[in-house]
Amino acid sequence: MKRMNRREFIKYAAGLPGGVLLGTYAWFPFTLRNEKEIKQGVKKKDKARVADGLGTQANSSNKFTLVIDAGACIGCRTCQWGCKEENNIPDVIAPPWIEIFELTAKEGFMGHASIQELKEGATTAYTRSPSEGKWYLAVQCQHCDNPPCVRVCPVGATYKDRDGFVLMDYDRCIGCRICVVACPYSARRFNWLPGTLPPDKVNPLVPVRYLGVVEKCTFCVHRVRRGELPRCVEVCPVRARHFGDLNDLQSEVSTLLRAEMGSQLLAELNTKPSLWYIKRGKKWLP
Amino acid sequence: MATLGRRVSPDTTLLRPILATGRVIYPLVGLVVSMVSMYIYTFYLQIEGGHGSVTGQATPVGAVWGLYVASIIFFIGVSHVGIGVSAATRLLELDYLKPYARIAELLTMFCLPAAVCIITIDIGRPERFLFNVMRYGRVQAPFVWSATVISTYLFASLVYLYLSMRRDFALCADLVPKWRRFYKLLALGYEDTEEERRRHEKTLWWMSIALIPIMVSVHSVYGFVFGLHSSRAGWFNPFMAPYFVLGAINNGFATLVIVAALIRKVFGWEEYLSLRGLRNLARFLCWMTLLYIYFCLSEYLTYIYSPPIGEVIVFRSLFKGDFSFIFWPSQTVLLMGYLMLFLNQTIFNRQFTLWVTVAGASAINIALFATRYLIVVPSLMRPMLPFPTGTYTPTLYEWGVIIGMFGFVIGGYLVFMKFFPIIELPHPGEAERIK
Repeated sequence: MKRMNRREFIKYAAGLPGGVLLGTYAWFPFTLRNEKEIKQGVKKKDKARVADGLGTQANSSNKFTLVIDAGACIGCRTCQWGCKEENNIPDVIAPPWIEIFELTAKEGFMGHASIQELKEGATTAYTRSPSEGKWYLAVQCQHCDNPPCVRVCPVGATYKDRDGFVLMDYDRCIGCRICVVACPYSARRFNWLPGTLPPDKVNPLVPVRYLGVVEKCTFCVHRVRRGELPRCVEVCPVRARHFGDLNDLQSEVSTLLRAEMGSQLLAELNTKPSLWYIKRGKKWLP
Repeated sequence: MATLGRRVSPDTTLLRPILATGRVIYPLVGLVVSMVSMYIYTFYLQIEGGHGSVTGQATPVGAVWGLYVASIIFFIGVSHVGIGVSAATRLLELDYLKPYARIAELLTMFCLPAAVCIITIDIGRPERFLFNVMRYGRVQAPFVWSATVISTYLFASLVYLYLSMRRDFALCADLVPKWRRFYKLLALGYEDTEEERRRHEKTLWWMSIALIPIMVSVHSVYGFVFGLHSSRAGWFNPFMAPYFVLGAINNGFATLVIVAALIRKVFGWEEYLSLRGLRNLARFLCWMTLLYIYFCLSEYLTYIYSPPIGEVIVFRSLFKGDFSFIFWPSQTVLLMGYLMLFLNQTIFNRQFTLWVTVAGASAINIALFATRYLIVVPSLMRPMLPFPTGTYTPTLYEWGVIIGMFGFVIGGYLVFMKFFPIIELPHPGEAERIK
């Protein structure tokens, strides 16, 4: 065998991987775009996201916001169960995407909430509601404008869409759970165990998650982008939840937030949540 | 054989494990295989039933990360030092440490893959891990930084190790006739001429310069994985990166002292692995431990003096809460380990005893493992919203994974020592200089 000199060795050592790399990228456009998609004007990035099973496109003129009237909330957990049914949440995800805290009146619910030791009497395990002198605080994904979870995701599996939703690409998630660590609201859940759903109860619009990925509230993106309200807003028996487009000045949420003093949860962390809490309504007591 | 004349023919003591096979090796290999099978079995169970069936981790209340992550930091920390010692030896021309260099490099070689194995078992979808991080990796994410620095470090270390071993392959081809073709193939035509030796030295010197910053970055990144979350009390802290680097240096040097002392004892290589080298490693470890204790104290002072409420609660759980039964013993053991090394170097300087040094290094290693656990878990147990109190107890499976990876590292050393010389064969005229 002919001996290689140094120059030749470097040429081969750099050329071979370089060639493979270039070859991969040359092939790339053909594998990802087919003719039909190019005709429809779907960008490559969007195409990957459409594959999330939502079948919808974001409209950047919207800024969706949920306003929760903590004054009216009676802690009945109907939103929790509605959400669970709508979004194919298996029983092993506990608590489901919405969690409701019962807080004592003394502490209120505004401002810096509350590490559990400070909130004497704060609980998620109440059995009777509403009770005299208690507040109910519903917490779910806050769809932050400055989301810490999106920032730390190594593969971009969670992302901020143009209309304000923070969404999950379950096919891309590797399950490292750094987003769970980063979320100050503890709004994210992980599929620790294989979940089972009765086949007749599966909502076909929502992808069923599998073992080992992270999931969370989507603001019912599959409903909202089709012009419906999120399920939790629809089922609330006391109208404590209001959902709408903040960019539309005539919408219910815009009017509410102009008229009432709203507050955000853990606002000092600079996450800029899309969830506002107001205290307008009067609680219905039996 | 014509080339042999130019080489010094080294004493075959260093090749003893290659030339002969002792009886102890078989039970040892059996032990290692059973340890590693614990890892594999847990991995299988986890793929079948999910993390929830195997580990004690939970969301949103409880530990999202647990013992797995603590041991990832531990293994990365140990691996951190390997090439570092080797590079420093080369750059500072510390000849008496040269026989230790390869033992240290192997720590990197085996502990880094061990850490990657635990990362793989820790994440939810291991089959997507490599592909998705490469295809969709976002440069803004700490985990992508870590993947980048780990792979860079591993690759650079491999090249470094290979280049520094090439001469030994060539020598072994002559000295170990039974595997001659194997070594010839590995040597890739190296003939140990003056020119080749000089060129390798030069390349390795430049690689050493490049490797030291990579080494620091590897563990800084792990500091940032924790230090960047404003949502976690006790973590959000610019101090995290240097703190982790220092912890890693402690970890690594302590492990190196233990491994080197073991090898020295088992093979009776007292004349190659000089006491002076071990003693200087222990001396460095001693001062680094003092620095670590200083870091710890300044952290505790900051968090005790007038902290925000989140830190109050995390540190209360450390000092007198759920974690105090780990915290106080681990701090005591750390201090004891430090004192063992320190007194051995100062007051009892005349009768330097090796076993005290090794015991001190082991104490430091154990304390640092516990410290890793205390960094990861307590902050995760405190959500900011009033969730019920979480608990986390590592399961036996989780311990099994850790034991499996220790087995992997030990097995790596065994296999390596069976096939390759673990101490660089002395250059002509060098044997005298080492002593």
